[in-house]
Amino acid sequence: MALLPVTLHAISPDNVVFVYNTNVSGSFQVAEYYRNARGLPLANLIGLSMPVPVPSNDCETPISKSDFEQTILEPLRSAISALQDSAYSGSSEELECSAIVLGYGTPLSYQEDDGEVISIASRLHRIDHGYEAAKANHTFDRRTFQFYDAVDAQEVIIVSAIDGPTAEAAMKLIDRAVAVTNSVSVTGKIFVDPYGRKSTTADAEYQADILDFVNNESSNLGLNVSLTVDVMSDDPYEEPTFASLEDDSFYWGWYEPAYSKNLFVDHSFKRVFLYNADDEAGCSIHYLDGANWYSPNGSDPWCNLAINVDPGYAACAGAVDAPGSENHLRPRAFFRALHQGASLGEAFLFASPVVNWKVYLIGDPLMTVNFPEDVPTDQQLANTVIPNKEAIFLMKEAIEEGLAWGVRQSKITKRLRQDNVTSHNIAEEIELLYALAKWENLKKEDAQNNLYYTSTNAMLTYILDSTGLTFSDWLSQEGHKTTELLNNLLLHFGTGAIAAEDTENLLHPEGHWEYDFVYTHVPLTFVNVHFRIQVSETTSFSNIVVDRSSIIDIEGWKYEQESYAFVQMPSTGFPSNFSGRRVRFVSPEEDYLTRTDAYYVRWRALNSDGSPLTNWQPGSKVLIIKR
Amino acid sequence: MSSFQISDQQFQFYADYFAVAADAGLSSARSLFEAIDPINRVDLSTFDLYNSARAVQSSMVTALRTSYETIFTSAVSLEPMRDSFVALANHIAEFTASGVDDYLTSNGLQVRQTYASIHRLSTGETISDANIGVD
Repeated sequence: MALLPVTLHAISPDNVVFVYNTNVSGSFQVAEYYRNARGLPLANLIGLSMPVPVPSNDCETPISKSDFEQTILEPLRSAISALQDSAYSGSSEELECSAIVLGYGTPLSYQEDDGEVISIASRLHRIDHGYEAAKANHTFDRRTFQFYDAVDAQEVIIVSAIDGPTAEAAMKLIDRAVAVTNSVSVTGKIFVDPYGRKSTTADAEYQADILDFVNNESSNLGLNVSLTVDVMSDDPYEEPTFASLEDDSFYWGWYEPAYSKNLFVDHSFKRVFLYNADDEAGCSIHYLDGANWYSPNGSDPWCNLAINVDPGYAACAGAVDAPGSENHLRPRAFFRALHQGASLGEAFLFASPVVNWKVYLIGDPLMTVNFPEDVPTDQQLANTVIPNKEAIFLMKEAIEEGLAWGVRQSKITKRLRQDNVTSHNIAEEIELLYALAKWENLKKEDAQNNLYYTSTNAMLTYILDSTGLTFSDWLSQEGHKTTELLNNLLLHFGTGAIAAEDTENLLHPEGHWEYDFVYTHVPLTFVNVHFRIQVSETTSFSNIVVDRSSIIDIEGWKYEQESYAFVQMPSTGFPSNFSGRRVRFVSPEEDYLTRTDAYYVRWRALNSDGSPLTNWQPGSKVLIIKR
Repeated sequence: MSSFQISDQQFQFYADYFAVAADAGLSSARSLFEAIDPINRVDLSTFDLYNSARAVQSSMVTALRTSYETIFTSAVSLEPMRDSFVALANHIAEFTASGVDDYLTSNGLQVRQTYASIHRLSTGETISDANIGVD
């Protein structure tokens, strides 16, 4: 069980501005309510004279672009700038605006020149930048997790809406968020509906992403997961649903754009976050007909349900218009961020493939969520421990490499002696032969094997004691191979060698090699990156023996998609959100090199057009062909 | 030049490969040293067999350290290679009446840093910086 929540993210209430509509009754009261709840400075409440939203049973009519720019974008930029000047005048420290909250009675969308309906909250993620439709979000799904920071803030700001059909409904969102933040742990279930539309590749990829969360991430949280069952139908629009949501803390589904409030069964668990990936879940949250928030046709958009049911959700996300399946929020990035201790605002941002588009967050961006299970060891930010199978693999590789260097030394001293003998220079022979023969004798391969006997024998014992498997069985189980040099050593000492019939499967072919490096993406962009690797016999790279680019051929290029698990790099390249993970080049047969020869390696990142993204990066060490 | 004197090309071969052979020994030791870190960082809870996990880890680290120290000691020991360095220096001196450093200067040759270091330890003669190259 995790301890009481500790703020791990770096977003302070001082860095949050709350925007209210001076033309809407109750809007300032909600701003004040939030200020008291979260401790914002009074100066961080910014009143703007905005158009008053006209609630609708259908999607609200977007305001015009000129209204958006003149009443929201530009005044807000000015207000934040003035706030920075006044709050820290005379100080070298400058207020970093990390988050903007759009309060009760704020318009939801505006219409761009090209006719696109854009979420105002999504547009304000890039308040300091020009409009660029569906701008790729550089903070999306960073596989080496990091909290939102001042560098990120140069490109994207956290934005959410605390809004609803009434001021009271908006205040309830605040109350619920504070209650979730202060909870020792959420305990309800996660309801997941991974199955929606199946018309396009993007649809299939979105379904796969939800299932990826279910299969690879959800169990880390310590919450039970309920899944719908796929409808095996020829109709791509037919989809399964839940009969009811009972004991739910999270809901993540997609496609079906509206649902009955009867889905939500009364219970005592805290409802935390709801997201339904559809085209209009958040397009009419101001809807109110007299005292009734629900539609007379008995079917309401998902965000209306999340805000208004009782008990209601603390937060939700939804679209104001069709975003496309490729731009829906992604669950794995969202939950992993929350689990790491990120705020809701960060988690939403990290799960959003694009900004300047249609999907926005409703709820308190400062809300944090405490889960029953601690973050798994391999995901902990200060993690220094590694799983045993990875430790064995690294140890095996290091021993193989050391042995290869030793055998290289044997070969070189042998060659020195042979070259002396064949020099046909009697003076040279007389002077040097005895000394060279002595050196060769002391470094011959048997002597190298003797040096490695202790460590290799201990490795066999370690594998057996920690896994219960012999070396061969462990290699088979993990899909690894070893080197002929190491196997020769095992044969020499008569212990643990690969059986003759298994050598084809468990020994690397001669001359095979691979090289790992870590790519760190520095630009504040989300792009696909390619790589080029060169191998040379000299440090000056005057003679290059291998020159491979993933743009020309992706054969052999892999990257670490999950910790310690490499997959084939797609032809589109390495997604930059995997920055910090390892990239591996595995030699195709035509690039096999000479066993025990040593080479220098360098690599560089390329843009998708083949132009250099980085300078040549020297390899971290000399490459010895150990296989 | 006497027909028995070593050629510049042959000297360069010996000097380069003396250095490469010596470097290989040190690289061997370094590689084995790198095996210690992952075992030190292993998550014992990921052992399939839990009995005495800490002892199994400790025993492995001890074996690697012992092995590393043996290989490192062997790699840095002058004993196997000193005679070769001295013999090559003597051969140069015999035919040029000069030390290796002067020979390098006179003939526009360079040796690797590793060669220069072991040569100094073996013969006491220092190779000038200008006669030391990188490749």
